[in-house]
Amino acid sequence: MDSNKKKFSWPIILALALHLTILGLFALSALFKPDKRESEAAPEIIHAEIVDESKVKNPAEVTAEPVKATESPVEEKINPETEANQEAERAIEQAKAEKTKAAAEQAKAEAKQAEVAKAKAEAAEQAKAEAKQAEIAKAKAEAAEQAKAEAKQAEIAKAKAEAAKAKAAAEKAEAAAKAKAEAERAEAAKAKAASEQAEAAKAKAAAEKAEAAKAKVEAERAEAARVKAEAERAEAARMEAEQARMDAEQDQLAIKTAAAAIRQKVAQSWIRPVSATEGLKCTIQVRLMSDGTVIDAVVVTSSGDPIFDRSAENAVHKASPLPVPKDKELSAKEFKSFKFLFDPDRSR
Amino acid sequence: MSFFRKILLIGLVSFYVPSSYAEMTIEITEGIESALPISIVPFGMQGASGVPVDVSFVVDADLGRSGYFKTLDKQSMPAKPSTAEAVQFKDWQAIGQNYLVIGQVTEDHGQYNVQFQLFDVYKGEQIMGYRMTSSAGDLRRTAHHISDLIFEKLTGKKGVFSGRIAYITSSRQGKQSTSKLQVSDADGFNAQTIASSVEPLMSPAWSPDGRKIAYVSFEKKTAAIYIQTLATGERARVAEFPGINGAPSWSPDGAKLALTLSKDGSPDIYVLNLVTRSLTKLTKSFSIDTEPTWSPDGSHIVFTSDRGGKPQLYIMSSQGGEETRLTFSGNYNARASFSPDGKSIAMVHGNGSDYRIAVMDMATKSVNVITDGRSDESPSFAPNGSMILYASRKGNAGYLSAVSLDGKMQQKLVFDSNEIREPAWSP
Repeated sequence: MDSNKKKFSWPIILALALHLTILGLFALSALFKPDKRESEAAPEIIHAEIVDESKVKNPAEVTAEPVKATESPVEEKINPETEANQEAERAIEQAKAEKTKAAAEQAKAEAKQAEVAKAKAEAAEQAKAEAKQAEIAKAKAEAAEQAKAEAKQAEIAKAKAEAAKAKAAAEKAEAAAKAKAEAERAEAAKAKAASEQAEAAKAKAAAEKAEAAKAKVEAERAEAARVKAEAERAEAARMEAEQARMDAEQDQLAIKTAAAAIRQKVAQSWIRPVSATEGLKCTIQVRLMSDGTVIDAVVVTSSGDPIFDRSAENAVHKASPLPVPKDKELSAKEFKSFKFLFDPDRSR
Repeated sequence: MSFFRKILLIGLVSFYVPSSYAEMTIEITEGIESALPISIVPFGMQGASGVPVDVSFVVDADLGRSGYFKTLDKQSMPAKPSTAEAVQFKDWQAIGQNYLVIGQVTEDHGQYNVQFQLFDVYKGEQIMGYRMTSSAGDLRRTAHHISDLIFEKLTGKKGVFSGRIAYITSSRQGKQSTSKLQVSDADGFNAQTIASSVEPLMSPAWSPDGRKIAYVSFEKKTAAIYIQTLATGERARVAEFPGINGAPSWSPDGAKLALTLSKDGSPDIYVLNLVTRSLTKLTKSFSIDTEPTWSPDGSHIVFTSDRGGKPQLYIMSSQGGEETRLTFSGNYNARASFSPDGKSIAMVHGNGSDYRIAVMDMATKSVNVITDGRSDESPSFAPNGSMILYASRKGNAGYLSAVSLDGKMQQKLVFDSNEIREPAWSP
């Protein structure tokens, strides 16, 4: 139960954290959205208004100033004119002849004066124009400056907006990456938790199995011990029986071995008659001395063919002494008297 | 607890097994196939000096040559007893001799008394004993007779040592070539000439009673068939038709002669009734049909025919009728000879350039080649069916040889002639 609780609490916490993070990201993105819209619309409007105002207001100010500047040169020129009047009156008194001259000169002077004035006026005009031009240039420069400044401002605003936008995007990307990383981490954590759980289960199973095996071994050992104890308890009786069995077995083995040796020796002594037709067989009764010497070999069941019968008798005699067991008692008991069956068809 | 009981049970069972009172029986299912060891002790010569024939030597040679016996040479004999009382069986047992033959030859007014005894060495008892009288000239025959008696007693088969064989020899002196029909003892001794001609003699055939021989002679430049009575030398010409008169063969009852005649064109098989002299034509093919031989019961005739392209053996009723091919292996099978029991046929079996003697089992039709010569010919069964006599040659020397049916035992008979053919073992 504890492990189960553990099992569920981790993923739930992680899931909750993930959801909350996602929700937080949504909230953040919602906050950033209106800003983005304003910053997007503003630059164009600001740009247009700033340019119009500067062009309309500033040139008026500029033209007003040059007007003042042209007035002051005109006042200064009034003083030289009065000086020239006093001199002309003295010249009338001094010489009336010179009056025409003077008049001419005056006219001349006047012309000159007019010319000067004209030049002056032209200069003034020119200066005025130049001033105006300078003013305009100045205004223009100022306007340009302002425009430039404004443009710069707009640029900055734009950059700022773009930076904000980029920042927002970056933040969004970061948030997404973070969310993704979070999700991956959650996933990894989940997988890890699962694998750990599986591992734990496996380990548990292995442990249980080991326990069971151990228990089994223990049980087997106990069983073996029990059987051993039982066997040991039976040992005395078993030994006795075994001894008897071994003796009997030894005798049996000796009999078997001797019988096989006798069979082989007789077979090697038996020259099968060439005339023997199929189906011939005969039985011969033998009596032996304890050393295997054949006392007699008598046909007790004839094959009907005297040559076959004789060949069999001959084989037994020729094989004498037969290889009976060395134990004379056993030999006398088992090989004192027995039969041979000569049956060549059995081998076919 | 059950463990304990099991142990006890095993103990009880093993106790009871050896205590059974039933008498043991040992089965012998294998033996050896070998020649029987036999000792033929040189016969005693009581009062007989200069006996013309060493009887025991002839018996020893006969039995040894048969392949059924392994005789002991004189030097290896522990003793040379000539009476039963003198025999110590233990001595002969010790050297593994199954049988012992002793005997005596005594002279009595130009006649010889021959007596012999056959003993079973291991049982220590006499199996057979005979006394017989013989003239000096018959001593060899007497010896062969003794061999036959011993052979039949110990093998169960009739001996063939007293039999005779007929054969053709040819000799050349300058431009003159002489052909002879001869008859000798089975060991090649006592050869006698029955007929002689400067023209070829061929195909001797014994009558079933062994008293007559039919043969082909070209003494009149053309072939004719004669029948000659051995005892009297009397002979009769029984067939002298235009063309081939050849390959006579007696019917088992001796009343008919099967032969080959080409009077109608191609050689065919005929049967001549010797009593009525009537002639019956059995085969009518355009090919060569020859070398007829009767089955022992007289019901069939086997012959050689090249109707299939190569000489092969065919069989038909001795009354004529359907002819059935017998041989299929090898490109040449000819000169059939029936075994006395009719169960097999000996033949000349040609394969490539080698001509050897083969035996066909009539029941299974399997053919077993039993000789290894290059030009073996004219097989003839011994009357007891145990051997086949045939002619062979090595280089320029021709000789007769006898082989057992399984090909394991082979004996070469030596004759004084270098040109010897067509042996026929007497019945």
